[in-house]
Amino acid sequence: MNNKLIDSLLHPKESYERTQALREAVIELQNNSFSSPQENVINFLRSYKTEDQVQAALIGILLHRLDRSKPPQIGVFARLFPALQMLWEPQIQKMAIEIFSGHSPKEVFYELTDMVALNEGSEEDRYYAYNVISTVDFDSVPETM
Amino acid sequence: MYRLPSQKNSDSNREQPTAHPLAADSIRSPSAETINPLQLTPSSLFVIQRMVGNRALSRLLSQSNTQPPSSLINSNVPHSTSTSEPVQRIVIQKKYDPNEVPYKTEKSLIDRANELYEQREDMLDKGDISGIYSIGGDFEELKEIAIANGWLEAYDLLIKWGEMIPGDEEEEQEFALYDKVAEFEKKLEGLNSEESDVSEEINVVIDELRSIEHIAAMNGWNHIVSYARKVGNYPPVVYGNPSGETPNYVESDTLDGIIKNDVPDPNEAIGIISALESQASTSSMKDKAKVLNSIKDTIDENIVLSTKENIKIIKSFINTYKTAQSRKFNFDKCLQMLDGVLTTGLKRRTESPEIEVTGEPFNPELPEREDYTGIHMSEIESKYDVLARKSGAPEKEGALIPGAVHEVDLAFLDGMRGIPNYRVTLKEEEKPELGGGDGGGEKVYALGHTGAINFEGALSNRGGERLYGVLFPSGFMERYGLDLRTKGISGKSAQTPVDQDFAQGYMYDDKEKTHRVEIPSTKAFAIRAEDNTPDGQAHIHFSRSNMNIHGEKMSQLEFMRLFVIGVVEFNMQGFVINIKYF
Repeated sequence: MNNKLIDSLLHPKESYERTQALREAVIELQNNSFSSPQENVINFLRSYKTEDQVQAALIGILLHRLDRSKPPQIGVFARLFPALQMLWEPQIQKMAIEIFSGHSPKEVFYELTDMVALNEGSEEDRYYAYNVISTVDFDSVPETM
Repeated sequence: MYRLPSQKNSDSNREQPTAHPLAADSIRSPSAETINPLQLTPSSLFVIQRMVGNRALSRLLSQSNTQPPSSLINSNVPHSTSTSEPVQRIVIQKKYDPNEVPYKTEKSLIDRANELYEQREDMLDKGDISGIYSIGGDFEELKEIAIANGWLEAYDLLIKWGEMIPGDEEEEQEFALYDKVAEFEKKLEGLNSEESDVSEEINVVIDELRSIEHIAAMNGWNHIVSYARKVGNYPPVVYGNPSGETPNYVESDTLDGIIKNDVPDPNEAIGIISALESQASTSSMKDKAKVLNSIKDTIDENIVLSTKENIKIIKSFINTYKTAQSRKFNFDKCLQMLDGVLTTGLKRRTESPEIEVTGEPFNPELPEREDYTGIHMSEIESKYDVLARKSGAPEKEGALIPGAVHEVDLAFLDGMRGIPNYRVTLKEEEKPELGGGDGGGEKVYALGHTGAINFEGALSNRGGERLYGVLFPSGFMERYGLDLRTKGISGKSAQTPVDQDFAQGYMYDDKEKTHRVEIPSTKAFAIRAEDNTPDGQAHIHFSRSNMNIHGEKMSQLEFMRLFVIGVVEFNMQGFVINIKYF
């Protein structure tokens, strides 16, 4: 990950620049899956809070890839949940569906509700969990993918 | 065929004539355009013929193997470079000045075309071809303006005078449709709508116009869509990009209603409270009354749904109750869950710092509302402050998103008031699917139409580009916009301030925190500048919800929409295609 990309991620002049940097980072991590970004970038990805659903989804994908072969964590699901319906971002939607593969969106929604209601998990994960349960309609969440 | 960028059918792979850069794209870029003039392949012959006309082409061909005449070498603009170079190049200077557009009527455009035609013929008579490319570019530009405004007489003359190749089959269909609308316009004028016996006839004409509009929309012929709507005077229709032979569509009023209703139903929340109260009174859990009262107070406080945070609190409350019911939680657990979720919601509501905007409230005098269709944006900008955007068709990786509605169409909805914060996809059954993809993001608008036309961002230029402008009262940008265009540490634009910066009244433009930028409390949004937007770009943050403007709580989006007067769609030449006042 070059310095320009890191700078765009951590200190963008505007929000759009950060979104573009996240898109580039997703591609970079896909092409070079055995290298990890620097510690400050990882810290940023874990701690950054945003209501921008595209940015959140890209961060979710990056965090999942950084965990390598581990099953997706609830924090990844929280960041990626809105991307399941992101028709206008087909690439992100496709990656989100792949990561959700084998998991029930309804069950994940239950877990996210529990996190918020019972104050479980990390503060950042709860932030994204609340974004989901306060914007998605429960009735529209499918049982299976 | 030759087509305006704003009229392109974005899923079309049809080859565009390479003459475009001389006309349309030279307008886009402020710099000089460079072309190869004399690579005489069949396709380049076509291009040159189309651009300069047959007579000039034959002159060029007769001179292509000889040294260029001295008049050509000595000419300042345009001129060809030395023939000793492997490829000859001609530089055409951009002449377009949006402040001096003379073609506000079809007649003025025809007058200009006459003038150019005479100039060209005179040049050819004298054997001087130094200016014919420039004139060819002018013809193309005039032709674009003529077609964008539906000035068919002028367009026909330009084709004749330019001695260009006749239009292809698709172009003929486009003109046939336009003619059909004109025919219906005359027919409607002849029918007296007061007489009941002709009402059926009128309805038939309107149905025909709607069907013409659908065909035009499928092909991206926006000027025909606008014309048919104007003649038919029926509620506007919003189209999704066609996924098959028939485009999905929905009446804009219907879509507007669906978007406006995309908030939780307050009655559902009230019903849940009643159910909880009923259970509490009939069970042995009266000790939970305190928690229940607290929940009830929170719901009462937020049920107005006036802010985004209100909506989120009510929605999370309803969702949590439903998850508890679905999992058959007992009353105690259900109450605990609801209390926990509401506590988080209330915390989130006050998490972002309040941004207070002070000073004298802005009470502008508004100009008379006029129909600016066919008029240049520079005229509108002399009366209003305009925020403008260029937006590509909703597609990714070259694939059109089936049924996706264009941002420009969303901007025209009453609920959006020029600033769409929703994405909409029309499904097969014409049922809109809403996505709040920009819900927490940011939208950036250029100050003035030229910033939008010149904008080079990849997402805005991926095909199917359309442009729109949002009209604000004159003086609004100066009153509430924080001008950061030259406030950065490098002397260029400063970065975008975050909520905290606005709330505290200053920001630092560098990581080392040495360059402090003041943010007066009279300002409500940031105006930055990038290379494509030297006149400025306004940043609207959809998650900036905790603002207090002259004592009234609202989000930045609500504040901006409050001052929006209207919205226009314009073409790449800056002429208005459609206008709507709110």
